[in-house]
Amino acid sequence: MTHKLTSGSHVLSVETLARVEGEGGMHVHVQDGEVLDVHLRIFEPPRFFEAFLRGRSYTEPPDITARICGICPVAYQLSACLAIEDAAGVDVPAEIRALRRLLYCGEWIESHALHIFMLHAPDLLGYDGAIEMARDHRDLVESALRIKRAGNDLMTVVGGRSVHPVNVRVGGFHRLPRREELLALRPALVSALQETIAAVPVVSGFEFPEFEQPYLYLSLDSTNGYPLESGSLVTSDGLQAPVSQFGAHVAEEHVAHSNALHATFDGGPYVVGPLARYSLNSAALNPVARAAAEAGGLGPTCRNPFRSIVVRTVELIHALDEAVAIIDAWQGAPVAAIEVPPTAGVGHGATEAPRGLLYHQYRFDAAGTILDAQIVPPTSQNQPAIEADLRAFVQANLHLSHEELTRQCEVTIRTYDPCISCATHFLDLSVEHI
Amino acid sequence: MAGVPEPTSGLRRSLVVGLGSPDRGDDAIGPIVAGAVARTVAARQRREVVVVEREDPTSLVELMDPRGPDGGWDTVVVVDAVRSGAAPGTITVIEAGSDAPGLGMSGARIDPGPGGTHGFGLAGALELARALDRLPPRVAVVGVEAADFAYGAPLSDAVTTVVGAAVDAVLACALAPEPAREA
Repeated sequence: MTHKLTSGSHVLSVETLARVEGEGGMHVHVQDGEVLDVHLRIFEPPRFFEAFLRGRSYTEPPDITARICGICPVAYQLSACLAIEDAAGVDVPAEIRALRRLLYCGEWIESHALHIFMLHAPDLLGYDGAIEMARDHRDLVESALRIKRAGNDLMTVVGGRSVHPVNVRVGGFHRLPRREELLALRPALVSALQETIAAVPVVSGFEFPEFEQPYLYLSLDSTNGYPLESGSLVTSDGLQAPVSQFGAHVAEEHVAHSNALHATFDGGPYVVGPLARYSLNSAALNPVARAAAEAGGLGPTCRNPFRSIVVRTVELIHALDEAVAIIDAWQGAPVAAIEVPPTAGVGHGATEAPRGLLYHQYRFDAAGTILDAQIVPPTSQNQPAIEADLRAFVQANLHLSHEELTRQCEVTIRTYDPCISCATHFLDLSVEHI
Repeated sequence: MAGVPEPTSGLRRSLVVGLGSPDRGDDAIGPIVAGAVARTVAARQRREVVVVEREDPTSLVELMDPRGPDGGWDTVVVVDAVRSGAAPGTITVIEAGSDAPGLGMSGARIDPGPGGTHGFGLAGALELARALDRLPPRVAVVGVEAADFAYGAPLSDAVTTVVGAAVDAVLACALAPEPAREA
């Protein structure tokens, strides 16, 4: 919805953003050819998860925080597990880490397939949404559904359910999948891999605006392969640091127009997510994904958020290929989970949710009771960069019609695949009194 | 298809989908009603009715694929919590199959509800299935007006009161007439 004001200024406004998770809107105020205000408004009610966790047992965050988001529950479960295990000073065996990585591949497959083909592609093909696109591009949508289903089935076998998995616990899993269960997933994953590779010319053939973002990129590093279920912090400025240093660089603040906290890195906007992961770790991609990146016209880095659909496709190929590789190598594990004792202290954990780095920190007493919890999801971290992108994009495109500029702003926001449901969980309870 | 039991072949086939999160207050009405319907059809040995629970509305598009491993369905009944402004506990049955007019949604620009996944709510999923020619002749949405979607909350009193009526509404849509007994 667009409003032109009589004062010579005008407002670009989208009351409710479509094709994003959760409830949010956008407000851009332009006056005399200058962008004055840009607000990505997040007004889904905050859910106070951090306060809710206080007083609960150290064994509970994987199940509780998984409920924050229906599209990235594995990210919450595994960031929580890492933080709790960090506080206890334990590392899970390699087999458990591989199974976690396999489960995480399922989440990436589900989420990336949905965003690439059903949420982002309609923007680039000029449709209002996937429903309209399906009428003209049935094959693309049918393919997307098959790819997404391969991820759903993987999540069901390893995680117990395709949404909000129940098989993850601190120290590992409640139950190990049998080898034959995993092998049964293989044909659909291989088929999905082939279909995704075939889609590379389609997604890389879209027309993308010339737009480069200068912000700092932050992701996990590739110590354990392309960043997914573990790793240390790395930035495009060359910083390398353990996850425990996250709080030394990232600060969160409340802004009046949003229910989500805004995060800055050393005082400035920064970006997490596919572009950051890819630009900082493209050398760690599997060969088939590297070949797809090259075929899709990507260099070793990518700073155009509109091309994120190509990067997501490359990451989807990596996730499908890696899932097959883990299944092929799976010989079971000595135990489903290791014991993690309650330990007084602080633990930090970070994993790479489909839309970016997700950080958890917990402080426990000696009985393992949670004294404090901090959860920093990717959309909160990207929010200042999204607003900065909007400001720059609108300023450079004021020649467009109001309607087209408004539409392009919405497209700009969707390139980040923002998860507003995730981003509204962490206001401190004190804000109720403001 | 994972989680979908084999129905008896040769009978008119119905799929009942209880949609919603079991942990978000009244959003649990879908799974709760589905569970009760499953027990009822099992007791009556009506194996032509298959009952599943799902949290992700887009799974409906997969469940209704006539080219999928389970084939097509004659009738699909979806029971879900809804927000329309009616009094909590109000039950509404909406026909949305291929024989019914579209729901008038476009661009998936609809409130996906708290259980929706990135812009695809129940209506968006049904319209996507329609665009892909996956809708069976009859799709009945049994909507129960919700009062509260709070995490960890039980069903509200208003919704708890109508669980039995919602089960009856689903059964009325899903069950074919009882086969005539031989004299």
